[in-house]
Amino acid sequence: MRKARGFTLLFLSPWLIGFLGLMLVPLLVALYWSFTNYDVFQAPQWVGLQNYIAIIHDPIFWQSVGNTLYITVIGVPTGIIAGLGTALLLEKPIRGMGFYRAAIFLPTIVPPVAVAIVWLWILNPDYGLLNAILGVFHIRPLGWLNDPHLAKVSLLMMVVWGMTGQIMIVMLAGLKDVPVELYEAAMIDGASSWNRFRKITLPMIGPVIFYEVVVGVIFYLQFFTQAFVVTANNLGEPVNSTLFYALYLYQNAFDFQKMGYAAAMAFILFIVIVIVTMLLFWINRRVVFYGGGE
Amino acid sequence: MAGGLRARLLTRHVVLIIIAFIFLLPMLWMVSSSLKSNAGIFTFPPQLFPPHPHLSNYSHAVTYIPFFTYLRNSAVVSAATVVGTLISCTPAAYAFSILRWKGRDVLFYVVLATIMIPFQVVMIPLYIIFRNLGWLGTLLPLTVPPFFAMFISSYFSAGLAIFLLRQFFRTLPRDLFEAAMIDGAAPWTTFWRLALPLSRAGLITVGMFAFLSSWTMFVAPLIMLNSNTLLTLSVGLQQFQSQHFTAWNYLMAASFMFTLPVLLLFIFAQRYFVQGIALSGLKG
Amino acid sequence: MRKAVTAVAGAAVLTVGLTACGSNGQNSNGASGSHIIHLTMWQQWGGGHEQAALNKIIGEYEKLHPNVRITELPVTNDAKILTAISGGTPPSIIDLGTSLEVGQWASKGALMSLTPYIKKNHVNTSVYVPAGLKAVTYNGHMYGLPFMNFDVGLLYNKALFKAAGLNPNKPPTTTQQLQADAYKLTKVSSNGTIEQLGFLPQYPGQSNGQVTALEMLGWDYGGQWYQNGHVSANNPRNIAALNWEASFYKKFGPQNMANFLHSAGAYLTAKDPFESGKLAMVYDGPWALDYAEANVPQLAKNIGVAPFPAPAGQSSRTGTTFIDTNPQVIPSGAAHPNAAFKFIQWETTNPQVASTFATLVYNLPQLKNVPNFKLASDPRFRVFMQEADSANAHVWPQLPISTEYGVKLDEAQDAVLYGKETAKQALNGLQQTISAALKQSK
Repeated sequence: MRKARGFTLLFLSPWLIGFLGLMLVPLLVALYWSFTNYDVFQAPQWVGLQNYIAIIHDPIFWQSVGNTLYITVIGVPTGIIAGLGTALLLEKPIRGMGFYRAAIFLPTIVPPVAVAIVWLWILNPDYGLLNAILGVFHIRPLGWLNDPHLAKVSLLMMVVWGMTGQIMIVMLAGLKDVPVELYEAAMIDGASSWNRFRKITLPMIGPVIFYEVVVGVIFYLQFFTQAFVVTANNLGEPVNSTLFYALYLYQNAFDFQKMGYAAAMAFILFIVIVIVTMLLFWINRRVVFYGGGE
Repeated sequence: MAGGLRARLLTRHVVLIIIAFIFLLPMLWMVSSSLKSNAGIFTFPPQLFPPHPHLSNYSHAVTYIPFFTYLRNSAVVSAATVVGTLISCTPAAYAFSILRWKGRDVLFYVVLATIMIPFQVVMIPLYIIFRNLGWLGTLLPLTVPPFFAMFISSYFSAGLAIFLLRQFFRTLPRDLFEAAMIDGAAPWTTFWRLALPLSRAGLITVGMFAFLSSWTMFVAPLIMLNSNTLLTLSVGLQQFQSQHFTAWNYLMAASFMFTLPVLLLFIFAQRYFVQGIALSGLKG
Repeated sequence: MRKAVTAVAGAAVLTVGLTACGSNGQNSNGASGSHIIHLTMWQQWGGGHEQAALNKIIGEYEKLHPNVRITELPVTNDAKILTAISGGTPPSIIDLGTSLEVGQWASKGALMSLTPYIKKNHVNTSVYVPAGLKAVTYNGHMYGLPFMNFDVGLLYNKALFKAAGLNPNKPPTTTQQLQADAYKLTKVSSNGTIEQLGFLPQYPGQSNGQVTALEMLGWDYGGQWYQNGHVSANNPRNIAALNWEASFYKKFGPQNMANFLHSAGAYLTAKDPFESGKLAMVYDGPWALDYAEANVPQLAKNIGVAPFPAPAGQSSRTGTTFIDTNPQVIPSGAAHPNAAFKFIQWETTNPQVASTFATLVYNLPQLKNVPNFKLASDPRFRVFMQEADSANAHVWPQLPISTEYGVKLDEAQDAVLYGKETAKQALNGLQQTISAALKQSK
């Protein structure tokens, strides 16, 4: 038994070293900053809970919270449906499977700067592709990224387009591990394809879907790069409609040099994510089936 | 019956072609822009097939910035990230799923917690640690941490790699491992002989993600790399922009060259996914 | 529990201690002997021909000073700069694209005061255009040397004036007339799409790396943004300026205006609103002439330049503009500050360098006297030079919160243009936020 414990420690050691050395110390420093007035250059001054209190009274903070919740609630399910849908279409061999998979996957590897430029073209209100398509159906051209009501949806389209490929890959890998005999037995029993999906596929890939939900929630709550690249000179435009939590955090830390405030924001976000994740795990324990039992 | 099957196959193809088109169109525009003059990019109506393709954009793009130096740096960082992540995260994920020990689940929450830390606040302390290690001015701040299950990009992190692999390990039948242990197999043997071969798809997936997230990684190299000979390509692409002027066409040409190696890698790796079925011990 | 708290505090103190040590760890300056001094310079010009021009200047300097080697790196990201300074490993020289951050960073000790170096090296600061000097001065100290000044004027498309029945040689002389002309120059289709626009106050604006229109319009209306030691964002003249701006958006619909703006190609390309001939008047700098010349030569001939008009009856403020420079700064903790200063001194006081670089980037030389500066004989370019030298050239206040003020000003402007708030509400809100932030920073 002692030998087993030694093994466990050995298996954990790279992570443990990295965690203690490269993660815990920076994190504790940041936690300390959150209780200080710290402008990045001069020594931090202890202010207690002042940053946390100021955050609660900051209307722009709440605006960024609203924006972030919006894309999380819409983005996570949309991404999973798109990823699972494409994975199901491409799971069974079909002529050109490699091409289709590559096509859907391709957007995930384009550098963020290029993604932004290409999408600015697609979403261009006057001669953009999307409005041209809408025009075919006699729908009035929309403002997309420059319309405060549509800017978030526009960003989401861009992000889902860029992430579907990754989710699809995880789903495909999960689908591969569903034992074929289960399907065969169900076929013999005469189950419809919808029932096979509902009764076999969905429960069997439950852990993978759960993974994507957790990852998706964390990704959207921390959503940063795409919005940062699209509105680089003017974070959050138009009218703060795309000022997401992490963007506002960045603005405070590096544009305004309120690192203490930013650190406090980071810990609030951190705690929220921990609570949400624990909630997801709690749901997971009741709903998701693991091959291994537990 | 046969007719119904054929019709269904046809619909599947039609749906797939539409989807593929949606996903490919922005890419096509990127390639098309990379063949235009800088002013031609904004002509209206947009031309998908420029009448006079400027192939020379590609040769200009690789000299406008030190393209191949940056390419090499990106390759080094990505290779280190893939190898490091697999070496450090796979055993950890195994410990968090198959092995049983006290405090396992609590510590796993700590792993999850590391995923949730906004990078912006740990950036400066990390920078100082790397400075004290004497790593600034080298690629080490990006190449060493993956070996200790530490790297952060906007899509993926080592914490997620552990999480993902753990999810894969957990879908493996428990009886298999219990039987092996009853037979007296050492933990190392069950890991090496049982868990790894059975989760090939998972390992390739994680390796793939580690590769492309490090390939497009932006913030960490931007902050940590301070010399023109060390920049990675995703950061170096910015140099097509100057204060007032952007060489859009060169930028697009370089971006296309940037995506090409990953695309090839994907096409190569996705064949493994298919093979994964045949190799999977789950089948019989 | 207590143990944990102690550990946290300990780790924090430890690392903060490291930070403090770091910031003066590396700056042993060895500008002596035959050793080669390596200077790093982070520059904001980016890649391309501007980088090439900078490297030519550097090469020239290295020829004159064989013991100095300067390596430049394009850096435009403030987070990178702050991390490096805070981590104690900044470059020797930073070439900033705007003075917006100078006061804010200087107030926190991130930049070295250059005043002692100026005295020690007997730099005659009277050679610089005074407005450029003002932009790098905070609290009586100079935190940078000016390089390449820039301001804006009114650029207008004479062909569009003619087509609209206006006299192409009589640009508007009051803001009221500007608005009346602008309306005549605007064409709206039946579904509300703007096909041609007279004037677009938001453009080029902060989204294109320029300043917010309201900053300049506030001064144009006789307002101030910081006065007698107090924030004065809700100065009634500023509110009047914002109302004037907003009236364009009320007339044509904010979303239509925004769609017009974002339908165009990128700024300073042949398809940007002005170069494509869809926008008749724009407030912009001299470089716009250069880009138009390169992208659309037939339009370039037809661009008129005039001082930006003031409201009727206040003609003394005609030609109001912001003025800014590219501050050459030395961050705290930089290696070889003496050698770094000698380079920026040479770079910013050498008339030949000023002439060459200003011609290249179509900016104003930071020096009063520049030989062989051909652009000075171009009457359109001269408008910008004259404005720069007048009392109507204003500098954004250098405060510990300059950047925050600038960012929030743009937010306030947008909120009003999109009809979310009235000018009074928005600027009162701004006044409150910025006053509080300023108080807190002291």
